[in-house]
Amino acid sequence: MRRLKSLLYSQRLAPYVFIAPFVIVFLVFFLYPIASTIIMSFQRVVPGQTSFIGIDNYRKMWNNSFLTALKNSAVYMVCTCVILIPVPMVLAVMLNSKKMPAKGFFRSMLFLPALVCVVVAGITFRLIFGERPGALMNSLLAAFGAEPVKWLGGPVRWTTMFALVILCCWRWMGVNTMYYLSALQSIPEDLYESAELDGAGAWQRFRHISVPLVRPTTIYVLTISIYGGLAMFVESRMLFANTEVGNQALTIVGYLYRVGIRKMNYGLGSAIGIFLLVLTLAVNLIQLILTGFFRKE
Amino acid sequence: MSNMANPQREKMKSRMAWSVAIFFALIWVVVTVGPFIFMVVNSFRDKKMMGRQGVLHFPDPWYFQNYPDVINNGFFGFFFRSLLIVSISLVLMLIISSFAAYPLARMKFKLRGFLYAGIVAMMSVPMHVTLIPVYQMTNNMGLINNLFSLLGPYVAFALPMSVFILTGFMMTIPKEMEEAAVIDGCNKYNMFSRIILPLAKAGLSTLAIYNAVGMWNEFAFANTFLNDIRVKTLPLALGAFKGEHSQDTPLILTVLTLSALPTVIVFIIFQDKLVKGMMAGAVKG
Repeated sequence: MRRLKSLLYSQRLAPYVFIAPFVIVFLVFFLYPIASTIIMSFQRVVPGQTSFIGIDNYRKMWNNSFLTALKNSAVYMVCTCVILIPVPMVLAVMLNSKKMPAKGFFRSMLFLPALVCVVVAGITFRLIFGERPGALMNSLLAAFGAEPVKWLGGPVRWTTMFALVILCCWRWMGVNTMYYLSALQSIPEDLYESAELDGAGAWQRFRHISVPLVRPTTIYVLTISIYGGLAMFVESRMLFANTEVGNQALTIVGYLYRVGIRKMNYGLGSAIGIFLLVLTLAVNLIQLILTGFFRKE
Repeated sequence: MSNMANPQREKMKSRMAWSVAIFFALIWVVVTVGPFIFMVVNSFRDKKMMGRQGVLHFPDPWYFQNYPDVINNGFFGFFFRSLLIVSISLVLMLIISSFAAYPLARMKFKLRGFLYAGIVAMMSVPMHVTLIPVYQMTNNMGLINNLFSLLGPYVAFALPMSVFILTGFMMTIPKEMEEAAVIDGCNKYNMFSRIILPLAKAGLSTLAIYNAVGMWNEFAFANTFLNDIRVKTLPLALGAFKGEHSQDTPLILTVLTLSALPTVIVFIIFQDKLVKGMMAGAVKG
């Protein structure tokens, strides 16, 4: 007993005692599921007679629905990254400026949507983008004299994606602005002052001081945006009233859910999951190399 | 030199730029608040009046019956189940993550670098990848339709980010206090509970708020594990109400308003903490 106690209190073992609960959770909910997904992706999973079938799942996975899902997720990810990095950066610069009136009000209003459940946001947007002439977007169009549009799953391809991207921007604009705001606040004031004395205009100060100095934040936001964009699922599901999402808004995880959970094809679902994992890691790795994250300064 | 030469013109230009910028900021505020106003205002509409009045006018007359209708349909059941699972997950998550962050921030040991790299790698794993195996695991244990089956996934997915942030936070705690405590004969465990934990309170509370919002709103796992209406959480409540009243838009909006209300109230109370928490979450290089 005494020896056990002295062992627990020893310098060498103490860190591992502290970290043990975390490692257990990690093994059960990360390592095991991922290992099991990798194995299942090479199997035909039938209760009692599971068998290895090589890369058949990966071959079967490569069909039209999947390619549509892949394209949708990619387009969504690119659109959200293109909007949700520069715009929050500019908003943050404004909110950081002394000249900006009612900062607290803008800050709170921008942040509010991030707290609302995707389900709430999704259904609200479904009703806003409803196809009837009385829905909010179509009412607004009518106010400008335009014809009502069938936004979700309509004949025009981009309207569904438009609604999805607007939904994403609505939810995350405030959060990303907050990230940039905190980065900007850590930049010393005198940098701007001396630049101003040297005759640098507002744009030049933004371009040559703010943008380079918030680069770590940009890398972080880009990383989570790529991750979030490629793994998006609930938004597209909520925008459609019926449980089966149309192919126009099918995403990679949506397809995983349809195949793996709804149709109980675990093997194929796992293959899609592994593809998503590799894709996310690869895109983020390329991004981190391009943005110079690994470069030592 | 130009702005020295012509200060009047520079001032005009700057004022113009600001007007344009504030104009766009105001537009974005309208876009942000619009859906909320749409949601709340239309929840006070009678369903028959919706088609006739359109959505741009205020309800006439204001109709309040939707709220009692939703509340009497078991809304509080969904609410309390969400509250229960979120509080338990949160407490567990905070205990485990502060335990893990302490040695990562403060001790030298062999696997430190390896574990830290593992945490960073975990942060970029889309949790949906684990959906099928965790579902199988839950199924094998007979825990489908058991509220507490969500405990594991909720704790697990909040952990990497929390440990990462807490480790950073604990690194900023001055070392002098610990050194003094060591001289007084304090061991690692007492040091953790008497010195580090109280000093990390600010970090813990922001993490709690931040993760509570995420868990409160979680949909994918809850929707997969809980099929029985009697065990569903709040984000799934909408499905339940949707089934019965698929055409009753004001009623759905009432459910939406009621389920958004708790997070909005929490936000109003803890606004500063939450924003600071978000900022602490932002990686500083």
